Amino acid sequence: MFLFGLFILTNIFAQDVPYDLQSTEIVRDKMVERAHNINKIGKAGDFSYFLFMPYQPDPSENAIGNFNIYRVGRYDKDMKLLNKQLVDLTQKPEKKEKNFEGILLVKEKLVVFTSFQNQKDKKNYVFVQHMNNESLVMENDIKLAGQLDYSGYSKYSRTVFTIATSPDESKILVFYTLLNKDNETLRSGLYVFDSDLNLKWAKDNISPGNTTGIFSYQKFKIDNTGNVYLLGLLYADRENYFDGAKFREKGSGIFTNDTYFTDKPNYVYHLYRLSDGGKKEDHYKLELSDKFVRSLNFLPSANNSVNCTGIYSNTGTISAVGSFTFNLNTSTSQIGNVNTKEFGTDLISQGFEEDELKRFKRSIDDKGEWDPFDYIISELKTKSNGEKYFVAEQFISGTKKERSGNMIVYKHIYLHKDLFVVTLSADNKFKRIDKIVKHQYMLITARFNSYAVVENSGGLNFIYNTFVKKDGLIKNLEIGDSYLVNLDTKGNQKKVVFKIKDSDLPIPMPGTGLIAGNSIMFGLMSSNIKDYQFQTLTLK
Amino acid sequence: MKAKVFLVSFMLLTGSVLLAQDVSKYFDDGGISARSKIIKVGYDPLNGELPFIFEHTLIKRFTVEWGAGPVFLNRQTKRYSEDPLPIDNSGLGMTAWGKLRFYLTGDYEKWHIGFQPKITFMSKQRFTDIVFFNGGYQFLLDNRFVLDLEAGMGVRFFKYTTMMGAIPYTDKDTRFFIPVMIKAGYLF
Repeated sequence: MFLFGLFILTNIFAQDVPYDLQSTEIVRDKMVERAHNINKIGKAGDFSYFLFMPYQPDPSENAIGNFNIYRVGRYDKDMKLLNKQLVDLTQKPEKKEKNFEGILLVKEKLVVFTSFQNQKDKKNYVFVQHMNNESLVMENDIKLAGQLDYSGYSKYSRTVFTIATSPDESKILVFYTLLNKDNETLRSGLYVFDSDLNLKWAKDNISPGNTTGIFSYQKFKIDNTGNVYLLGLLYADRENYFDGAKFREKGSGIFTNDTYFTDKPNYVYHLYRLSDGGKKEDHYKLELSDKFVRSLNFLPSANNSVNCTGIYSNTGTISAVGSFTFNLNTSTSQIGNVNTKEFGTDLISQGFEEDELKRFKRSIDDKGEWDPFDYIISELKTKSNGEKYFVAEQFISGTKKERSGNMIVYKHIYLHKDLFVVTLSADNKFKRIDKIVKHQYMLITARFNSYAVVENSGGLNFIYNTFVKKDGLIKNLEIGDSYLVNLDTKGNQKKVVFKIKDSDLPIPMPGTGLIAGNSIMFGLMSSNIKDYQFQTLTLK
Repeated sequence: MKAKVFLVSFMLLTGSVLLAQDVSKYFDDGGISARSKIIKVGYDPLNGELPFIFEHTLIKRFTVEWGAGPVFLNRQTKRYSEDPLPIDNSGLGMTAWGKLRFYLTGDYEKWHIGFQPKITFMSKQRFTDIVFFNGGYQFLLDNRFVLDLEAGMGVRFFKYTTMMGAIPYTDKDTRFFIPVMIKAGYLF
């Protein structure tokens, strides 16, 4: 339903504002059509596609209702909604309801993955079909993409799918994991399709082959020739494995003391490369000789090379002290071209608050930990001026105890804190590391967290929201301003507010950002999830 | 020109049809996913009830059960022997109820909880039972047959009349009501 009548465009033409901002009207859908979240699908020509998501209960949550209602919205270059269509998951004429598993744009065509759990056959069937880009109606080209037999597992609960495309979109990877009721992996496997949705190869029962420790897959990638890369983490033992942060109930500082030891340097990144139609499987340990690889991302490139980028800490510790890049030669299994650069104390402590600074200074003397965060390493990207960059975002999640009278409530908190922006030369040598201090405090939802980045003439532009402290105590979703920070090639930062805090208006969701040239289109939702709109921010 | 357009359209249409695959066999699950109703017969050994039951889906994981059947008064007399109900020692009564049921993990299988209002007639007296909480476990024995075990707790309200000399005097009273039932059913 329209709140403000017809489509309105708002332009800000102030001279000193480094951007133009266009907004759609604020929309409030009928209760039955209301989305709980918005995800980006992609752009095809002048059209942008977004997925309107239903509420997705945790598997352990006993929620009542139909959580299989997905809608796709198609917008033109002026952000005008052309149509919004329910993803039809009913298989006709059988009248069977399929489960939605994912939607993506492949060679500018919408592709939908669905599944059906056949309880008689004890198989989970996976299907793939196109969705018409204009009408958003499912095409009549449904194909069986795979069949997962779970008859051997008495405690089978569900299958989770991860779908990825190669950089040139010529290959599609569908990785699946069968889980039991305790969310433990029963079996993993994968399918590789070409862009016409023909199955190229498949591999069932993929095992990391570790006899000790606790292993989990972290990232799934496929290159243009159809080789699959699986990045996993192997923990030596259960000590601090997946321990969440404990947020302070009151007093100074965000975390309780034991939060600084939520993780231990007791894990190693492992990369698995499946090639030759799955017949060849190579395994690499991604380690540095005198440094602990804290967080890592990778990018397969030409000539059997994999570029690895990330954040390291000193051996035996967990607090991040610098950044690294290296190349893995998949033919020789050798790690080469290792480059490292320390952050330095000034950069680490930049933007620290009093209690953080106190802890950091103390740690220099007592060799303690000051950094409880994980680092989400972005993809390695190449800028228009030939430089490369990646962003390491501090992230931690955990619980916060809150009292209301005699009631004690434990809330799950997601905290995406500051960004380290690493700029590299074309040959992966360090040029500079900058820190963007977000002051993005904790939230009970991941919807409005994190950031989006747009490049403009070599400069990087970050958009993010802030959520502020109040009365010394950190509250949930105390909405702050939304910022645009320009980081130029020399490391100068210019920070402007592009949306002033207003709890009645929708809040930008950086994760929904679709980038085209020097502009980004993103969704916004109100904190009560009733209203939404879209905005396009174009950099001048 | 028209012929060309027709030919191209026909080719595209044919191409589209050729791409489509007959996937109907993968959806043939013997009707398991479409089943939404169960008929059952139950027995409550504690309260002497033998209801016939019909359960159907309202929305996913949420069902309603309707039940009615005879009540054996001798079991009721035994159950409430310490604090007797105003009923005959033996004979037959009648009970009827509706129950909202929520399955914790999936339709018609595993653990469920519910709320059950109930009305029972015994020896011309009306008893209203509110079962605040009802929980149980339903087994799917094969694709069609179910075995359901459940228990609950609630309160039984009733009015009763006593004679104060020649004057009838009506009062209200309550008892704890604890249903325990085993049911066998057919899913369709």
